[in-house]
This record gives sequence, C-alpha cells and structure tokens, in this order.
Amino acid sequence: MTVGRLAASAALLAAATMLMRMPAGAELSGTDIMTRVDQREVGKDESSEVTMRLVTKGGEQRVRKLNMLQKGKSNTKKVLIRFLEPADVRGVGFLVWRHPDKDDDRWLYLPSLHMVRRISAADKRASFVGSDFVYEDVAGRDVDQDKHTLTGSESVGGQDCYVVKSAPRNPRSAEFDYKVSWVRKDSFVVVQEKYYDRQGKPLKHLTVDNLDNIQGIWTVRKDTMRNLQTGHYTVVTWDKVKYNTGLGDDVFTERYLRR
Amino acid sequence: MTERIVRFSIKRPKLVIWAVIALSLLFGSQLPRAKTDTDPKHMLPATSPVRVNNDKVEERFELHADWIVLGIVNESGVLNRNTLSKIARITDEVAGIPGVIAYDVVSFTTADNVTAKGQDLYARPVMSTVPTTSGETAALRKSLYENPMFVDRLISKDGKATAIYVPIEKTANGKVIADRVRALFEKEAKDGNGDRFYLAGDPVARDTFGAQMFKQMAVFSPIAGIVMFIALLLMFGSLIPVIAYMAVAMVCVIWAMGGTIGLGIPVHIMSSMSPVFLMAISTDTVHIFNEFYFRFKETGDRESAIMDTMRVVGRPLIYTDLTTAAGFACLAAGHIIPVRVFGLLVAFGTLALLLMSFTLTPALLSLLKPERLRALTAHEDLEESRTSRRLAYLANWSILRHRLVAVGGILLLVVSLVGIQRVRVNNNMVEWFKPKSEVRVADTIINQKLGGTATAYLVAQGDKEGAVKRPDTLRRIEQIQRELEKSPLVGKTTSIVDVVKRINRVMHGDDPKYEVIPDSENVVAQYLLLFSMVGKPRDLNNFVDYPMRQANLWVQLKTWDAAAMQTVMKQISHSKSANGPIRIKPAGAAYFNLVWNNEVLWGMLYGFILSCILVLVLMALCFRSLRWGLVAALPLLFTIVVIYGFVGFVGKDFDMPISVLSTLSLGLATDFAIHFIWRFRQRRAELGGNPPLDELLTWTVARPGKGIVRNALLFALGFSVMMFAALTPYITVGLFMAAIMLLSALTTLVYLPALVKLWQRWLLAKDITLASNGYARGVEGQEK
Repeated sequence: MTVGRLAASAALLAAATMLMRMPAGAELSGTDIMTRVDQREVGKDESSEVTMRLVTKGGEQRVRKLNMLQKGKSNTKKVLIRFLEPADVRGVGFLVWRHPDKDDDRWLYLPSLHMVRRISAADKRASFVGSDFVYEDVAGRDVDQDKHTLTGSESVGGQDCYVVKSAPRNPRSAEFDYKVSWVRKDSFVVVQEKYYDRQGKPLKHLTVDNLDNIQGIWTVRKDTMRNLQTGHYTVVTWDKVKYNTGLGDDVFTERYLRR
Repeated sequence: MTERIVRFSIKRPKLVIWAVIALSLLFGSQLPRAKTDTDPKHMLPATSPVRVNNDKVEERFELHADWIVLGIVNESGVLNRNTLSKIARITDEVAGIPGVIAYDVVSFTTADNVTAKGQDLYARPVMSTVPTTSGETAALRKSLYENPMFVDRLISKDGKATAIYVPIEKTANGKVIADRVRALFEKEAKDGNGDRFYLAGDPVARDTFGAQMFKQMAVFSPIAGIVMFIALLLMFGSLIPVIAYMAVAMVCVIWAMGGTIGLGIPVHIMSSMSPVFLMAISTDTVHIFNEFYFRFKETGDRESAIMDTMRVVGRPLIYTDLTTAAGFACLAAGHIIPVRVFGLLVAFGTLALLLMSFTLTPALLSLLKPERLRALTAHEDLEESRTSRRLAYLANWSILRHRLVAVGGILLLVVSLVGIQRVRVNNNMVEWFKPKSEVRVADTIINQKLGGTATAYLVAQGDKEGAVKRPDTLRRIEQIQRELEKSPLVGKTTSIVDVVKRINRVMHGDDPKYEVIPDSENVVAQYLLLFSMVGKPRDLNNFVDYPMRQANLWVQLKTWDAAAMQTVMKQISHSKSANGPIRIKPAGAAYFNLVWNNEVLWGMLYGFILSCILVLVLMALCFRSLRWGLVAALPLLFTIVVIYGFVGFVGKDFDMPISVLSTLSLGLATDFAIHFIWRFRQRRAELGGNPPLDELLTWTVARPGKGIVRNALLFALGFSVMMFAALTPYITVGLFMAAIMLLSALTTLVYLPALVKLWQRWLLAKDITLASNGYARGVEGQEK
C-alpha cells in the first residue's frame, strides 16, 4: 500500500536542489531513479489512519481499519500497526523493524491471548492480511533486490513520468517476473505500477488515485491494487496523516506492542 | 405424390444423383470445422440451478474448476533427495506452461506451513529448499505428518506418494497441458531412482477422451463399413446394392453431421456415435433391393419393377422413417443439451434417408442394365430358396407352438424384469477408459495412495455474518467431517476447522494438546487475521467466504461413481437435525456428477419412454388400428426389457452409452415390426377373402422377413468390430448394437407370427374389409 507512499517523497525544495545538482542533459539510469524514489523525503515520522477495502470479483467486501505509525525511511524504517476494525480483531498489533543487511524483524500481538509472537516468513511477497498488497508493499523493498532499466518516458494523468522496468535479481524471491513503474519526474513519486508473471501475462496493476501535499511532503491518500488474474482488488485510503509528531523509539518496541 | 417423385427420379437419374452429390459436398464442407465438447458440465444448460450454484461457490471461495493432479510414487518412499529435487523442478516448470494458473500450483515447494519454535512463528513452504542432510529430510517428514492438511493430500500415509496439484484455466486444453507434463515426466523418469509418475484429473480424462473420440470414430467407422460392405456383397452377390446402401448411408451421415457442425454445435460423446446410428438406421435400401429383386424376377421389366417395389415398400418405409425420426426428435423435449443435439441430429438424418429412398435409390436402380439384373436375380432365386426355406421352417415352428412361444416370451420378460430391479444407474467418466489405460491407472493409483481425485464441496451456511467464527459452528463442522470420514469412499475432508486448530497448536508452542477449536470467537477471529498475514489468501478464501457466514468443507472421494456422492448426501440429510441453524448445500465436480447422472440418465430414460408412447401412437395411426399398433410395439418393448434385464444381471452400470443405445431400438425394433405387419396385412388384402393364416404368416416370415434377417445380420456383424475399440463406450455400443439387432429381428420373426396366430380373432376381425382401405392400391394380382 505504500509503494506509492514510500515513494511519496519530495519536499519540493529538496527535489529542486537535487535536480539543480544534476548537470544539464545528464540521463538518470533506472537504478538512479528507483534510488531517488527510495530516498525521497518522508519526514522523520508519520502517523495515519488507514482503511483497506478488500473486494472480491463477486463484489463482496471486507474492510479493515488500522492505525499506522512509521519512523525513519528506507531500510532503517520501523512500522507499528494497530488494528481498529473489525471489532473482533481490535487491538491486534504488528511491529516491523527493517535492517540494512539482514531480514526484517516482525512481531505480532494477539490481545485475546495476550501473546506476542515473532514471525519469520520466508516469503516477503506474501499477501498482507489477505489484500492484494504484499508485506513488502507495507514495509518496503530494497532497491538493489531488482535490476532496474529505464525504458522511456510517458505521461500519466498529465504528469511527465519515467518508465522503469524492474526485474528481481533472484527470480524466486518474487511472485512476479518483472514490474514496470511510472515515476513522476518532478517528485519521484510512483504513480502507477504493472506486474507481469512468468508467462508474460499481466498480474497486478497499481494506480495512485489521490496524491496530496501534506506539510510539504507528497503523500498518497488513495491507491488501488488490482489482481488482474483473480479479479480481486484492494483500495487503500490514508486519513489523519501527520508528519513529524515526534514519535519516540519506545513506541516501536515489543513492550509498547503489548499495550 | 411419392409416385411422382419416384417417376421423376427414374426419368432423370443423373440429375438426381448430381443434385445429391452437390448437396453432400455443401454439407460435407462443414465437417472440418468440427469441435468436440466432452466437458460433462456442458451436458446441462448454463442456467441449470446446479451449474449456477457451482459457479457461485467457485467464485465465492476462489476455487478453480479444473485441476490436473500429478502423482509421484516411489516404493521406497518419496522423501529422498533425488525425488524431492524432481518435485521442486517439476513444480517450477509446470508453473511456466501456458494455461496453468501458476500462482495456485500446490506442491511441497508452494504449500505454506506455519510452524512454531519457542516464541517464534515460521511461515514458509513446507519445503523451501531441497533437504541436503538426513536431518533436514527428517524435519521435512515431521512437518508433513504433523500437519493434517498435508497428510493424504501432499503425502500419503505410507510416505510412498506425493502429488502436485495444478489448476488450469477454463479455456485451456487439458490434453495439451498433459502432453507437456508427460514430456517433463519422461525427462525425470530416466535416472533409475524408481520414481513413477501419474497424471490424473478431470480435464485430462475429458480432453484425452475428446481426442480419442475422433481417432476411434475415424478408425472404426471405416472398418465397420468394410465389414458391412463384404457382408452385403455376400448377401446380394453384386456391388450395386452395396454401393447404393453405402451411398445412402454416407449421404445421411454427411448431411446430419455437416448440418450440425455447420450450425456451430460441438460434437459431444453422444453425437459422436450418431454416424454409427445412422448407418444402422439407413436400411431402407436393403428392403428396397430385397423387394426389387423379387419383383424384377417376376416381371422382368426394370421400370415397372421399380414402381411396384416402391408402391409396396413405400408406405412402410415412410412409416418406419417417420416413427424413427419422431422417436428421436422426441429426445429433444428434455433439457439435456447433448441428448437434444443427438435426438435432432439422428431425426434429421432419418428424414434425409427417407428422401434418398424415394430419389437416390430409385435413380440408382434405374441405371442398372436389364441384362445384368437378370444375371443377378437368377442368383437371388437360389439364395431365396435357401434362406427363405429356413425362415419358413422357423415360421412354421413358431406358428405351431404359438402357445409355447407366448409363454416362453412371458417367462423371459418376467426374468428380465427381475434383472431390471438390479440395474444401477451410475456414470463414471474415468471408467470410459479401459482398466489398463494410462488415465484409468493414474486415477486408480492416486485414489489408492492419496485422498481421492473426485472433489465435492459442502457449503455450511450459518445464520448470520461472522457465524463461521463461532466455536459452536466450527465444532459442528468438525463433527460432520468425522462422520463423513467413516465412509471408506471418503478419502479426506478439509475445512477451516483444520486451519484454526493448526494455528491454535502453533500459537501454544506446537503442543498437540492445543490442536482443538478454541472457546472464544475473538480468538478464532484473531487467528484467522494472523493466518492472513502469514499464509496465502487462497488458504483462507478456499474455506470461508468474505462475510464469514459460510464455510466450505472439502470432501475428497476415492471414486467418481455417482453412488459415492449419493452416500455423502444421505449422511448429510441424516445429520440435519443436529446441525441447528447451519444449512449444508453441496457443490463441486463430484456433486455435479451426481446431479448430471440423475438428470441425464433419468431424463434420457423418461425421454425414451415418451418416445416409445409416441411411436406406439404413430404405429396405431399408421395401421389405423390400436390393436395392431400394440402388437407392433411389442418387439420394441421386448428388446428393451430383455436388454435392460441383461444389464441388471451382468451388473453393468446403466450409464450414458447404454442409455443412448437403448434409443436405437426405437429405430430398429419398430422398423422390423412395421415391415412385418404391413407386408402381412398387405398380402392378406391382396389375396382377398380370408386366406389361410398359417400360409400367410409363413410367406411374411420367408419373404419380407428375409430383408429383416439380412438387415440384422449385416449390422450385428458390422458393429461387432467396435468391440475392439480402446474406449469402453464404443465397446458397449458394438456389443449392444449387435444384441439389439439380433433380438429385434428374432422377436419380430418368432413372436409376431405366434402372437398373430394366438390373437387372430382379436386382430383379424376388422381386417377383412381392408382391401378397400388402400392396402392393395396399385398392386392387384401382381404378387403370386
């Protein structure tokens, strides 16, 4: 859900400065672009209320509401998720610590049993709570896991975008064979993604439906991931987004998770 | 009217022949466009409740309709490094085959397993990497056998078998994918590790059957043709009637098949048999030639012999063809698509036959040189004396002992009725293949080792949203599972209960004591959320719907027999009272098979009974006498009852091929009876007064009866070659076709004379004035 989000960066000033530093006419490589996406300004911390609407092909829905706190960015990010709805899972907590050179740490808290369990999952591309987003879309994916190639420029919604093709270096690490991202040239926000499977068939399609500038930071307020093969899709909206509220490190601990 | 058509055909034979050829080319040009459809689902219309419900269940629980099952068996156990690396390789390669739904392929390397070690939960495929040490292999063994979701699905209890489950797209061809998988198997089987590979699943059976269907028909129709060609040649001693029969039969087949295919209708298993049926029905030519030879012998004039022949056999031909066509068209009244197509196709072919009998056949006759005919009929005379003498002897015997014959017939009927009680209506598509065929062997082995290839879904509907999360609902579902598993036909059941129990155990440090349903609804809800963060969505969605109101209980059956599913259904209705607010609704392939079985077979049976009644009415009309109509219907009734009785005694299931075949008696038994009775009454009217009955009956058995015997022998021979086919439905067709032929002929020639003799007062009282009724029109005094 935060692909666009992660992506979401760019205090305009920072972006402008960076662009000014580039010699005129110099071409950015695919890797350059995706690094800029990963490194774009997202504030020191962020809190938001997230609503995920999971919709089946037949039109049945499941709505999950959760509170999401984040601190840091890229591969040192910490995320704390607390479920608000539906009522019977209220209070379920999920904590993620990303590390630069090793697997993420993840903890899950079930209030009905007062139990915390560390989760070690081999598959980072596993669905997040049954949605069309995967765990990596929430926590983030290392830039150097994929080989990126700039394939051209295209306009999306009137905005000039880079088109970057990314193929996993280890093909077994992902459910897709490659993906194509459309990155806005002005803000380095990913506004569209298409995933393809091994048979070359379209697999998933991400669109950013609402992009907002909050406290000078480009923020995805709504995006949709569609699984083109199952007809299932997930719509995510972010509300009450606040940056730099001064979240302490103690928030992102197992002890806090248990509360 | 018919006379003018015949006269025209004799006058302009070449024009008629060219017109028929031109039309046949037109119809024939459609044949290459033929498509097969062997999906049993399509036997019922898309709007039928069972299909609508199945589609809904598949959508709601994200289920795939078509699965191919790859079985891997090693007698010294599959959990060795070599076999395991093959499993990994095959899983990987299968996912790349077009038409395979890659993300849902299930095997050791893709099936998620949640395990616990202290405070840590691990979520990963049960085999993420191929074990390299014996310790790792032991760990794999442990995790496989500890998780009840895997036992009998991914690993057999004895450890000697595993399976890879491959869902395929609805539009994909199962045989094409199966062939690519077989190539993979071949590559992997070479190393002498003792691994055996099997391929099963509905799409494989279906599409292999579809492909073989064409091959079998392509091989056996011509062979049957050749055998009949030789038999005809021996009977008539000349090529001409043989060619005439073949030409007429070909025209009927080409017109009917070409017309159907031209309309864009796919060839189903039933219509694939219609060429054989049409060949068997298009016997008009035999009767025409039979009579023509006698006539020509008598008058020596070609034109008048043709006209006279058509005058005496014309009416019975019209009636036999119309009753046959009406009988088959009647099958279209039901709502089973292939039966409708089949009925109309054969009806159309029969009408084409009727047209040919009055056009093409006379045209061909008129091209025969008189000198040649004289030579031929001289031979015929000799033939006649031999066959006819034997027939006359037979007739005398049955007339003399008519009471004995009648009693014998009743006895046979009673015995057959006992046999009918034992008939089991059942259909099993896998059994359409021979026991040693690849498809059947694979299905048997996989059913033996693992849970079973036939899957049914029992959808438990709760009273409100979230009902499935309630412990009482879960407990009830678990009870149903345990009850069902008592049956030896049920190989495995799986439901959301198994998921919940598994997580409960894992959350409590992998303690087996906790492999139970927790007591709180919130705990269940949170387990399911946890599971949705570590497993694949399908692992949950296959078992519960979105509002958590319905749970899907998977039942794997060890056989495709509809009877097995019937047992499951009985058990469900038994336990209805214990279910409280939960309602159980069945779906899935095995359930569909049951419904199909009932609807198609019973539907076919009712349609057939309806056709019989219609035929009876038509025959009563044709003879303008209800009594004669009833007598004419007897050979049909007799043939059917005896054959069904036989089916009951030998324990053969009353399945689709048998049900289709019984309709053939509509076209044969009635034909024989109509020819017999018509010619008998015609002869009687011609002779006038009250001629001696015994002589009259003997004449009928000896003369028109010879046509009947020729006809019956011809086809019994022709179709017996199908007994060597590779698909059991065709073997059944060959065997029963011969049986129906001989039985109908025998009934007509033995029972009808005896019955006429027995009931002479009742039957013949009104017949004396028949001469004025048109029977002898135009034939006065020409038969001696």
